Order: sequence, then structure tokens, then C-alpha cells
Amino acid sequence: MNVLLLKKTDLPSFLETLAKTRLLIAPLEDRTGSSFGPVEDVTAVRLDYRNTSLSAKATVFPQTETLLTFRNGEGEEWTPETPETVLFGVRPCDARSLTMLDKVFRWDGLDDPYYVKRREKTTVVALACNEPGPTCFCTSVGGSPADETGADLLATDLGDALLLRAVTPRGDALLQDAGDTVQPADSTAVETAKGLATQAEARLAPVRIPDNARHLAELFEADVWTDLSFGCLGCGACTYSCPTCHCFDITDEQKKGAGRRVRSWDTCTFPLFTQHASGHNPRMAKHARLRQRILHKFSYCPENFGEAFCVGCGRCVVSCPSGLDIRGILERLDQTVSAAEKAA
Amino acid sequence: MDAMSNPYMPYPARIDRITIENNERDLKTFELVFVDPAHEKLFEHTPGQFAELSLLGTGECPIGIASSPTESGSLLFTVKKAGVVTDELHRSREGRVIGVRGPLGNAFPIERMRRKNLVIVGGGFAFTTLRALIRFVIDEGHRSDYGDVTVIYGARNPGELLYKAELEEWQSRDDLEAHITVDKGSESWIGHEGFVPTILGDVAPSAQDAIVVVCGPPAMIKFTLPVIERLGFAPADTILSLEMRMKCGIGKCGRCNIGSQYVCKDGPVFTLEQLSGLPAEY
Repeated sequence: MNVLLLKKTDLPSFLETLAKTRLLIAPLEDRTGSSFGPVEDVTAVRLDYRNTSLSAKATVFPQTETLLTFRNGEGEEWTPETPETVLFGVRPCDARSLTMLDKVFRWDGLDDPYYVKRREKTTVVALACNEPGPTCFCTSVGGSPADETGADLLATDLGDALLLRAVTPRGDALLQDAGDTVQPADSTAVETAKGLATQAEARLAPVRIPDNARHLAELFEADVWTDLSFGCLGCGACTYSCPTCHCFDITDEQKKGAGRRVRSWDTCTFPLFTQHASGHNPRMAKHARLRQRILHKFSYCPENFGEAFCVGCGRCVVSCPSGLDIRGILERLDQTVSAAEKAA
Repeated sequence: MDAMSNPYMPYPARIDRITIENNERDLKTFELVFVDPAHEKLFEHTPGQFAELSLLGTGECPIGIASSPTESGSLLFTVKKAGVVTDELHRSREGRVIGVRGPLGNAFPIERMRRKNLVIVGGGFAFTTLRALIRFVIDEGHRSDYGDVTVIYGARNPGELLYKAELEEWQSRDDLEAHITVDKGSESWIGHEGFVPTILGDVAPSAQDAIVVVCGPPAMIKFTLPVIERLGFAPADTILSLEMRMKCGIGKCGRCNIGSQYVCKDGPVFTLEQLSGLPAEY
């Protein structure tokens, strides 16, 4: 795979070249700081951000999307044109999260056609983190600031240039397209990037995660959940900002006999999420809903998909209006698991 | 791409016949016929499975399939009026075209049931997929594959019993032992009076080479399981079917999970042994 150097002064023309045949989605400044959006002006693309307020998941799994349309009782499948897309400048945590979403939306050989179509047309350019944020903990959940998982191309900011390392043939193809905006990288640049990655990694404080999903599941009836969920408002901000949360609702909208069936992000922190038409609700209590969110990520997903569905981006920590911190929750659970093991 | 490759696309189906099942008129059985015969071929179900009934503009609801695949030509769904979609369904007339998405979920383990005696215990309107199972095993082509079949079915009162004409027919059959009971009888009621667990204890079917399948409201399940255990049925031979709020029905939307299991794709049918390994969150 190619390793090439892109001078920052050549970045706009590099992006313009990519955007000629693809939809370019990249971090742009907005009122929340920065978030991913379609790029109209390549000079507006920001690479100096810590992390975007929302993850990049909407690129492949939009917050709201049409599944089908109908008119006078007749349904028609919604098949929008899906352009070739470059998701440029996602942090390695977000790139990795896409591989987790893949597992859900392609589970048991049953593909979700809407997701798969978008995903197959998306080339992911990750941007290594030289300066992890204060709420980042990717190294505690199997990632790292320069992790290549989920990326087709990994970029490292070297100050006046970006080092671009192709991870997949798809990333390589992107570099081929870039033509003479990129040039061969020398070994110094490669070594500098390695050094930055090591430095960034060293800055991340480890979080103790209960290492055994089974043990965590055994805490199902523990009192600790009531305590942990005390401050939870059930607002769902943690799940909407989470790059791996993927629960959705399906609802119909119609006006004068015509309309559409849409799916939208939903959240297990809402009481109505599980309420039956009879009124029965298996997760009536708030502690049960917080427990569902944590156990789904750290116990049920490891069981179903072989890994915890958390990439350590820290967005849920930032977005929680009452200051719940998933790192604190995990450490508390780890202590509870250890205490239970000692007692046994 | 069409309904054949997109799991979110319902097959259009016409409501051919509506049967009002109870005096309160909040239980109706809808007989559906696929508009496109090709879809009927694609919809190959096994008793115990369910489908999403789809009303474009209103939404979808997961309903157990009450008919057996041996009754070809149409599908039966018995629906309780409970929410937005079922309310509109109840207001629909014969001839209306709705959507069916499925079949979804696993099914009763009909292969494992072969050569076994079957004890089928149902309560209230949860009897629907049990009807599918009964119709399947008493079908001419299948009856000899199974041993004794004992059915115990109860409802609050005679008017709440589903499939009344069929129940009568079953009681007169000699290849099926049917015990129909009501919590409280009426003047004209000549059958059992008493709760399902009590009648099950009285009938006391043998657990020898037998599998028990039980579907009913939570209170009935709670009092029936100890009786089943006392009769000697192993947890692996005790089969239940769960209900859960659902949307996608294909294990994506994350709504119906109990621990790591999804009721929509790993269920709705579970053995008591499987359920004892899951958190009690249903």
C-alpha cells in the first residue's frame, strides 16, 4: 500500500480532485464546534478539531431516512441515488465504529439494504489524533489514536503536511486519483507520524473496563444500577451522540393519502422504547434503562459480535446534561465485579 | 430491488374475511390473501412464527401467525385491538389491501417434536400460534409423525374463547384430547370451569417422551410453570413464546432484546432452559 505526503497548501486541490467524482463529507465548523457535512467550499474543511459534536455515523445511517413511500395505499420502495462518498477526516474512533455498525446491519447474513448501499459507496479517510481530548479513552476499549480499523486511508497531521497511508485497496485508489497533489513520503515523515502516535497514546489515561462480559451480566440484579442512574434524565443525548448506538424507530408520515415510512434514531433511555400496546413495560424503571445501555455495549455485544460496542470517543461524557461519565460507570462496575469475585 | 430482497418491504395482501371472535368485539381474525401469488410462495412459514402487519400511513405491528402452512391459500392473524395500528386494522373492511412482512422469528421446534407426545397449553388470545401448531400436527400428512396430542385452552369466559367452532370440532376428534376451560362459565357452558394451571394439574398429562408448549398471559404462565415442573417436564422440553415491542423484526433496531437475545430473530420461541439463562426483562 502507498504512503504519500500531501502538503497542506495542496489540501484544497486534493479535496477538489476527490470531490469531482464523489460526495465529500468532512468536518466543518458549526455552532456546536464542528460536525460532519457535505463540503461546498473545500477551504472550510477543518482538520484542527478535537472531535466533532456528533459522530460520523449519519453518513451511513442517517438520523432520519425514508424506507418506502406510498400513495393511496400502494407502497413503493425508496431507492435514492447513493453517490460515491468520501468521509474525510474522521477520527480513528469513528472509523472503527463503522466496523461495529457493519456487524449489526449485516448480521446473520441479513443485510440492511439502505445501510449497506451507503456503506459500500463510502471511502473512509481517518485522521490520527495527535492531541486526544480530555474525555477520550480509546486505548481502554481496544482502539488507539492512530488506529487504522475501519479506515481506507489514514492521515496524520505533520504540521505543514499530511502523511497519507493507504490501508485498503480502496484507499490506494483514492491516492491514485489524487494524482500529482501528493508526493512520495520520506522515512522521516513516516517516523514523525509514528512518534506522534506514540505520544498521543501516552497521553490517554486508562479506564478500567470489566473485562468479562459474563461477569458484567451477572451484575444484572445488583443495586449499583440504581445508584449509577440516579442523575440520568433519560434524555438520550448519550445515545444520539454515540457512534455505535444504532437503535431505531420506524414510523409513518402521511398527508392526504400520500406519505412515507421513515426510520429515525431511537434510544433505549426513553421509557416508551419498550412499552407494549398493553401498557406492560419490561424496562419501566430508569435504572433498568441505564443498565440496558451499558450491558448492551459491554456484555451483549461482546457476546453477539465479539467486541464491546464502545470506541472511547467520550462524546456521551461531553453531551450528558447531568454529568454522567461512562468511564466512572465502568470503573464502578469493575469494582463491583471485583468485590463480587472476592466474596465468592 | 423489491419486497423479495428488501426486508422492510411488505407484501400486499387483501383482507378476504374478518371473523369477530368475542362478544367485546376487540378480537378479530383476519384472513389475508396475497395479491401477488408469487409472494405466497415466498412466504413459507412454520407454526410459531410471526409477521409484521403493515398499514401504510399508520404503521406496523407484530402478530403471530394463527394459520398452519398446511392451510394454503391464505394466512390467519387474530388481532386484539390495543394500539394505533390494531385499532385501524379493526376498523378495516373485507377487501382492503394491507401489507405483510415476514415470516419473522424462529418457530416451534416441529422437528424435535416428532414422535413425541405434545401437551399444548394456552390462555386467552395468546392461543393464536398454538392454533397454527395444532392445525399443523393434526393435518392428515403430519398426524402420524406425532404421539398423543393434549390441548388445554382457557379463557376468562366462554365468549372470550377463540376459534369456537374449531374447538368444538377438536373436542369430537379421537386423535386429539382437548380440554377447554373458562375462568367463569355461563348458564349454557357445559365445559370445564377453572384456571388453566388447575385444569392442567387435573388432566396431569405424562411428561414421558413429551414436550409441553405454553402460551398465555403473564399471570397464567407464572402459575402454570410450577405445575409443568411438578408433572416432570424438563426445562429443555418446556417451550414458551414471548411477546415484545418490535419494529424492524430482523434484529437490527435493538428494541426487543432480552440480554443478548433478540425476541424477533432468536425468538419468539424459547425453551424454559434458554429463558432461565436470560435476564428476567420481559
